[in-house]
Amino acid sequence: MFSLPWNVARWVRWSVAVLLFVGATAFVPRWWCGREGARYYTGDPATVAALARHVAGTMARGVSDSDFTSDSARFRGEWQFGTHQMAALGLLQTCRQHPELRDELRPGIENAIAGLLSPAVRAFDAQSWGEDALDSLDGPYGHAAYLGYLNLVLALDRATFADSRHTALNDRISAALARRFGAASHQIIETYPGEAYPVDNASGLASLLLHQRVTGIDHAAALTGTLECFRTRWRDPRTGLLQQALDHRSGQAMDRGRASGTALAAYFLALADPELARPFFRSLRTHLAGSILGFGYVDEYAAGERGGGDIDSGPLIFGMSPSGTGFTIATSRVFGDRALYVSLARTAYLMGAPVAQGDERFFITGGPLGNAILLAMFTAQPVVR
Amino acid sequence: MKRRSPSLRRILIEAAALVAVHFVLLRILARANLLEHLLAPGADSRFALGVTAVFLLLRVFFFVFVPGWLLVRLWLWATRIRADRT
Repeated sequence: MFSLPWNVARWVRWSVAVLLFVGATAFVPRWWCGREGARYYTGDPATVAALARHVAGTMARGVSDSDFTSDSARFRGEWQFGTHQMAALGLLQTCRQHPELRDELRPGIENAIAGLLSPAVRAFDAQSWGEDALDSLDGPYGHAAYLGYLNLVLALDRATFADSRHTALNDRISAALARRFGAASHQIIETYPGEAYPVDNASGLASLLLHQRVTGIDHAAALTGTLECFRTRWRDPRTGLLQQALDHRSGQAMDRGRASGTALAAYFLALADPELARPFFRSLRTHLAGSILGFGYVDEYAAGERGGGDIDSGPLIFGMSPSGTGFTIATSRVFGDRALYVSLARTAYLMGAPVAQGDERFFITGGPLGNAILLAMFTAQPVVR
Repeated sequence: MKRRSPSLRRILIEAAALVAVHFVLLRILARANLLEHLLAPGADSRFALGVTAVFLLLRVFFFVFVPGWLLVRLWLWATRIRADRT
């Protein structure tokens, strides 16, 4: 039998070993961790329903301030609010794509909306303004985050269910938001006194565009200026990313274009008007998205810019943004970028650690907020009537 | 002193132990809200952050590097006799 000299055999043996390691590392993790993402992308009913059941179950059990760990009462309140909002959006999107799940998931949607309307959840906004957002709809103050995020849910509920119980409130909030957009000196409504964030205005704008489409009530005159700002003025001149914060008195940028704000705003806008959101998705794709071994990520800042993480982005890992990475999943689905969607979903699988429990499936590092966000992102789709 | 090649049994037991540790940690951590600690750490988050970091490092090693590492060990085990003879 043919045999090699020992030193050649040893060299071949170790060369094959290295090739095996490199090959397996390059292909096995991306295949294994990408299977679930590919199923979410196509809207596989069993995969989506398992996560939706978990989120609906969380809404049924209730989410309170004590479920969150920040030392800041405002941030705990925002996260409690965000959990209900993302849960409602994710469940509504699931119902739109899978009408057979409507009866099962609708109680979860109603629980999420009831949570959004509860005094406990409204408290973070009311404490900042010194007035309740819903009791002061005729007043002049912004309440951009609370009203915009809530109204987007109500408008989507109305677009999804012909017998929505929230149409009157949706009409009242829409009228208040339209009036405030129309009166805003720099087309931006304050989130809190002295604080203005384009991403929060994106939710309000999307809610009005959706309300306009569903009801036929024309908000065009009030929204023209803000729409123009989202198309040009509020975009970073170099990257096209959405500016994270503005001075509401001057309309000048107070922070750069960043992934966390751009990706979340793009998701909101894509629900109502995909063409308005498309340039933001292109900017994210071009300037911030990357991949290592098939695991996608989105940087918080564009190349050449430096900055730290904060409550919006989460802690940055070598510049990678947890929030930006998660939120970009939504627009990659809306705009049919399967490769980016699956690569980001691989990262969500790796870092989120999904587990099955009964007929539910959830991400163990997600908690109530993370799972609600991922359901909303995985199932994102424009509202087409 | 020449190091002995690990037996097939040892390779498989070590791989099974990694799977078991990962699975047990997964089930334990399923009861904790970790994202909140990660994104908005509070005064009581230090322990949760430490556990999360260890778990995620183990998970990255498990999913990204273990398949190749296991394959290499099996390859080296399968070719060890011929290598030892030569």
